[in-house]
This record gives sequence, structure tokens and C-alpha cells, in this order.
Amino acid sequence: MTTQVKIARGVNLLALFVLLGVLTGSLYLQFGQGEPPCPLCLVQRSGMVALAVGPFLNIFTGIKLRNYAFTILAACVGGAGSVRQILLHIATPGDPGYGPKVLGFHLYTWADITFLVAIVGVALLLMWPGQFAGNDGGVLGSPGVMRVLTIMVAAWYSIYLVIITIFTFTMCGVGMCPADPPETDYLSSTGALLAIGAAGILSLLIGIISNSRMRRR
Amino acid sequence: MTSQYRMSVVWIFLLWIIVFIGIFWRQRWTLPLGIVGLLATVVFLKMNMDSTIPLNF
Repeated sequence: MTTQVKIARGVNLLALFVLLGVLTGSLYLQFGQGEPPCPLCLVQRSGMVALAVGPFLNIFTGIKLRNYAFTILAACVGGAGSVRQILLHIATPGDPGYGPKVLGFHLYTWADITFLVAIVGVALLLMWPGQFAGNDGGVLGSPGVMRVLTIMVAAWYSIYLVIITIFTFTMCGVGMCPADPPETDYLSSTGALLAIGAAGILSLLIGIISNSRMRRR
Repeated sequence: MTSQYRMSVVWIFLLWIIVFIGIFWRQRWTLPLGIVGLLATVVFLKMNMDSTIPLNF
């Protein structure tokens, strides 16, 4: 495995941590601030989950062109949802927008920026042929910090995905979601932060234990 | 069964869970299933486009 493959894995892992941060922010607003996601927000959340598939495949199965291609497609789908929501609120005069603002922008604007940055980032990564040269079989065969962090972020994502699915089911059932869902207080602000911290610590433990068990085999 | 039950966002997230299982078990069907997930998301988006946006501003 070449140094370039290691660097490319690091970049993909960094992207996963950034996406994890975005999902953490949206879940904190949902559970800590009582801001439930609207149907278009769920489209963007689905796009954000899909955006992580490419980097995960790159790290788990090896760096491949098709994984980057999937990331671009995911960013286009998620971006379509956020552009639709931005235009909806621009087109209605006097519309204050949906949900709270973070650093001056609504969450759907931040989502659109994230999808655009993903497309530009992948385009730049595709200009780097050295990452495809090595015989990369994925991170699971090489023990170390990278493997611990990869399993940690995978566990953290899995926890979030299960939580998102369960609470989407409680909100929408198996039908259409309410256009303007009522605010629901699940946790206090501190409780949500503690739950996020607990998910992180649990994921780190899963990473450390899995890494040591794989080493023993 | 109406189309809204066939195309609920809950199924899409369940599909993503299966895709993630495929990633962790390094299955070959992961990427094609991911593309199905993206298509399902597009269909869900289309179903929620219930008002027109005037783009002639």
C-alpha cells in the first residue's frame, strides 16, 4: 500500500467526520431544541446519509472511481432537495424560512453548501491518480489508529441511522410525513449533548474492541 | 395499498441501513442498492413537490 493511498484514506475519513458533525447538528436541533425535520429536510438527511456511502466504501473496500462517482450522485440528489427548499422560501415574500438559523444561515442553506463542497472536493480528489495506483484492499486488513477511527465512525453512523429511522417512523408512520410537524421536546439541550457524547464514547469503545479482536485472529 | 405507503421515507432509511450493512460486510450489491436508495429519495422529493415555484423572478 502506497503513502498516497494512506493519505486518500485519511481524506475520506476526514470527510466522514465532517458529515458526522452535520448529522450531529441536525439531531441536536431535533432532540435538544425540539425542531422536527420537515419532508424536504428528510430528503436532505437521506442525501447526507448517502453522501457517506462513497467514503465508507473507499475506506472499507479500497479507493475506487465508482465510489467517488456515487458521492457526486448523492450530492446532486441531496442538493436538489436543499435548492428546492431554498427557492420555496425565496419565492414566498415575507417568508422567514423554516427552522432556526445557524451562523446566519438556515440548515437547508448549510446542507446545500455541504453538497456543493462535496462535489467540488470529489472533483479535486479525482485529479489525483496516485491514490488508485496501489493494490488497496481496504482498511480492515491493516491494524492501527486508522482502523479504530474507521470502525468508530462506522458505529457512530449506524447508531445515528437507527435513531433517524425509528424517529422518522414515529413522526411519519409508513405514510407521508406532515408538512409542518409540531415541535416536540424529547430531551433537554444538556440531555441531547449527553446522548451525543454517549454515542461517541460507545462508538470509540466498539472501535477499540473490534480492532483488538481483529488483531488476535 | 396507496402510493404514499409504497413510497414512505421510512423505507428509504431502512434501505440505507441495509446499504450500510453491505458496506461493513463488503458485499458487491452495496453500490447498486445505494443507487436504488438515491432513486427512491428522488421519487420522495418529487412526491413532496406539491407547490410550484415561479422561476421567472
